[in-house]
Amino acid sequence: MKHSVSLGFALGVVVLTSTTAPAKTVVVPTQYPTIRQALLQVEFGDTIFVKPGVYNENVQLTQGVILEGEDKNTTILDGGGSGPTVLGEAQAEIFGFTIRNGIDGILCENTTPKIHDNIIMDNQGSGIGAYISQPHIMNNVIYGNRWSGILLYGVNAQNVWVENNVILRNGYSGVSALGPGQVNLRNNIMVGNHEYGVIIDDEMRSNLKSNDIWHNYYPFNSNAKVDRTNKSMDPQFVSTSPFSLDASCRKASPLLGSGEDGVNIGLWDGTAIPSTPPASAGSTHSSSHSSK
Amino acid sequence: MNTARTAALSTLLIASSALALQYTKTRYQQSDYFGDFGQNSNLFLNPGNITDADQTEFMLGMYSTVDGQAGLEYLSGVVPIGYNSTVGASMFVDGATVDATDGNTPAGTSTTWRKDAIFLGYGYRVFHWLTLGSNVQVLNFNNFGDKSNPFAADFGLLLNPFENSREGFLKLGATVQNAYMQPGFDNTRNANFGIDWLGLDRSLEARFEYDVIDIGGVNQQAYAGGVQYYISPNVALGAKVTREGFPMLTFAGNAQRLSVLRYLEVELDISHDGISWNDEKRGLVWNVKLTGRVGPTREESQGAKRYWRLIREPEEAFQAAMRMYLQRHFLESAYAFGRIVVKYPTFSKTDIATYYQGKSLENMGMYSVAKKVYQTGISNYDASQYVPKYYFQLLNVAYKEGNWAEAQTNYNIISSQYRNSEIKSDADYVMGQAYFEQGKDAESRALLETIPKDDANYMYAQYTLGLIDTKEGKLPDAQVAFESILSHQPRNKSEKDLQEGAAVKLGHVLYSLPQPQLTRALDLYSQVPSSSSYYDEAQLAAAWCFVRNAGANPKFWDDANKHIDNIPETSILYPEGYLVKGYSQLSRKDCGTAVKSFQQVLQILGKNFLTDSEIKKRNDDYTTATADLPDVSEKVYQLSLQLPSERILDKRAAVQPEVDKIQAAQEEYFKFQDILTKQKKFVNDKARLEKDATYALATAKNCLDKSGTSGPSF
Repeated sequence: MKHSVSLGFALGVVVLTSTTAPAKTVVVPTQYPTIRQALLQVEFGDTIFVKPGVYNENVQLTQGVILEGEDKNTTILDGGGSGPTVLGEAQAEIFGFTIRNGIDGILCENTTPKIHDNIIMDNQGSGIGAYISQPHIMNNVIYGNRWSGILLYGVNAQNVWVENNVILRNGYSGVSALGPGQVNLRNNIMVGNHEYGVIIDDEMRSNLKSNDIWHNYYPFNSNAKVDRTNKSMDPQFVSTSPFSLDASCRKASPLLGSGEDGVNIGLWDGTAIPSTPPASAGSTHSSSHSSK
Repeated sequence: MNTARTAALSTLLIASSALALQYTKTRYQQSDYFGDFGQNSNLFLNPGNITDADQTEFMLGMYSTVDGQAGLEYLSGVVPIGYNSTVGASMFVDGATVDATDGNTPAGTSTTWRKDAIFLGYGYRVFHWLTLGSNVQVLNFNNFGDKSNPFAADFGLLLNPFENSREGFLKLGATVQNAYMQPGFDNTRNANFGIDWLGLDRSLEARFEYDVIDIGGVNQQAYAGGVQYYISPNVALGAKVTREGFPMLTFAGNAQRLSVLRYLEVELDISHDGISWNDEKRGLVWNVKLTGRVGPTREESQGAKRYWRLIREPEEAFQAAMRMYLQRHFLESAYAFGRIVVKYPTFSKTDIATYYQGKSLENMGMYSVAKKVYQTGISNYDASQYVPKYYFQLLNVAYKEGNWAEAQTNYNIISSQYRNSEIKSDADYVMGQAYFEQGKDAESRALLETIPKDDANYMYAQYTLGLIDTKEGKLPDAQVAFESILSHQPRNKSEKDLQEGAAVKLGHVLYSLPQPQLTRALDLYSQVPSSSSYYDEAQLAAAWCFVRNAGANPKFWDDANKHIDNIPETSILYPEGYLVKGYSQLSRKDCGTAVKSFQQVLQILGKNFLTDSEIKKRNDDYTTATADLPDVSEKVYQLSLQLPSERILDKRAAVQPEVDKIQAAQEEYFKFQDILTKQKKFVNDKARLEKDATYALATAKNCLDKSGTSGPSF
């Protein structure tokens, strides 16, 4: 059987076509006891489905392979205090995990993975470190990492966004964008970070749309191009306690539906909430979000 | 976080540092009644502690003296190195000038007591849960004029059982102070055990410490402890009890990003002597500490290092791939260039990598996938200056495949859209060759004549033009074309080979002119080295030059024979050489030998180099061996676009024998094509040679019959 996988990334310049086997899904720990062992058995287009549990592994993603955790609260990747807990790879995708206790939570070097719907917490360095990479980072909770929540170094994002993440209580800034390049941030919440909510280097161009930057040591520095679509208000999280972390916003939160194109600021389940009631028939709210 | 951490460590130090319940020789800081050290000076307590610093820090502490004046107590600093190492230095200032009382000093003068200490410390994070550290401390000891500089060393370790948002950050420390003491160090060996906890989003800190002073001596025990809480990100309040038993209040405030100072903290500790267990009537006592941080954080410096490594990484990968390509390891270079394309999509040379990925595949004869790569390049890098090169390679592949229509299509694109590009002349040459091979000499000439003299294709174009001119009987034009090739200095082996061919072809032209220039022709033939593929042809042509004048000078037969002798038996020109030899023998009336020579010629001509069945078998073998070429090409192409995981490397290893087999078959077939070309020439010349040999044989036999008569002249 022949199948093809078209890469949905903005920079997906190459389309791989497998002529040998259909895409398959392997299950950890049912079929393979560790994720690493499963990664040795899969190839482009395959999925590794991981059941809940604590996996004490440092995982290197494989090109074009989807790593899916069953439940991000209970499917835990623990880096054991060494190395990155997850090392990104081109065209790979990871979601549904708690990623913790590495030096970096997820490290991307010259690569373009898709990172979404994870909890990335308690790492001893940056939550996500992206160097000369274009990761699509969305819908993650990035919490309590020793350094920055997201470090974007030399990232030159074209149509790639960091979006709908909740970035809170990290040791330095919520988002640090250093070196030359371009970063695009929209619909994120940065709260309670110990330095800036967002810090942008001199050489870095930035595009911030509809973010909520609230109660950080400083909100942002002068290099950050922050327009009036951005906000500073209490997100009204369900719970930011590390014992019962739920970083989605309560129903009364003013951030629901107030992001770009009517989506939520902060975590977003894919349901577009109109920012204003449709006054006339036919009013639609398109979204560039594609996951889910 | 660092705000909180600073405060936490301050608490740690404040709580732990009061080693001197009163002045004892265990303390250098007799005037620091609190024994309250700052964060970086904590290498005094446990050298491993300094690894917590993620940024270059400096610190200074001032204290209240007995008479209420402020005095500097210590200066210290730490510098993080890499991710796991930190170095630090502290200087404790302690001393006084006092009135002379010892009787040895003249009355009314003073003398000095000092006991300053300099610590140089190093901490290394072995694992995230284990840190080791060591200090070397040197004393500047002036005991009323008796000066010395003894040194000692401390050793400490820290265990970090957990660090997470739920349980907080726990540190367990143990240190042996003055584990080694040089004689004269005049201090005690102490043990220090500490427990630190930092939690609630790093806003609450607590510490307890237990010390044994003068181990093996008085074994004096001391305890300290304290808590501190951040009521806001930049204000903290705390309370603690020092080893002296002083209850203290702590107020700390901080600010970030103050110009050069990335962080500044001021901490004030206050107490009153009257509330201590040992009231020494000092009144209000206080301690002020300043902490500043400058320069990049460990995250930034490590990030910058990683960034620059990654900036270099694609370039290094590109250079490595190019080396493989230049060494003609095309399979490896196809993978290496493919990896660059996939791994570094924003790298500035990705378009070039795509180009060479295609060329690597093309050089392995994998034309179908090479074309895919070039077409990918055209669509993905439409603004690249390599777009015309992609089109040129598509033209080139079409030419190699003999797909003239496709060649024409790509050539038309180049000549219309990229007529000013650097590959236009390359395209003209290849298309000119394509026309030549189709027999479209006029079209070929039209293109090849446009190639300028300074172009790399010029010599090759002139060669083909020379052949066309020769074919059309335009010998003076052909002469000009070939002469122009010889007038160039060859830059590589290919051009040298071309010149050798041109020399032979020019010789033929000169030989064939109405007024033959045999001497020049002979000179040209003689220039062709024995290693040249044109050598046999040059030797035979040289022989003919001599034969042509042998009628007038029979000595030339010997010269001709010398050249004939240089032609090996395996050469397709050998029969013709033998024919010339026969003529020579006949001219010398050695008719019997001549008969044998001509018979030999006819015998050689009677059999082909290759039989039809041999040719068919070779063709069939090639077809069989390369039947999988499309599939293998596709596999290689797909694998070149997949980053080398273990699984992919296994797959590449598995496909390698298939590639090797096809390449071996291709190389063998290429050699076979050369033999076939010669076979065709042999067959083409066969009729003429048979006719000449038959006639010559009859003449020789006739000569033999008439023995004694002179042979014919040629």
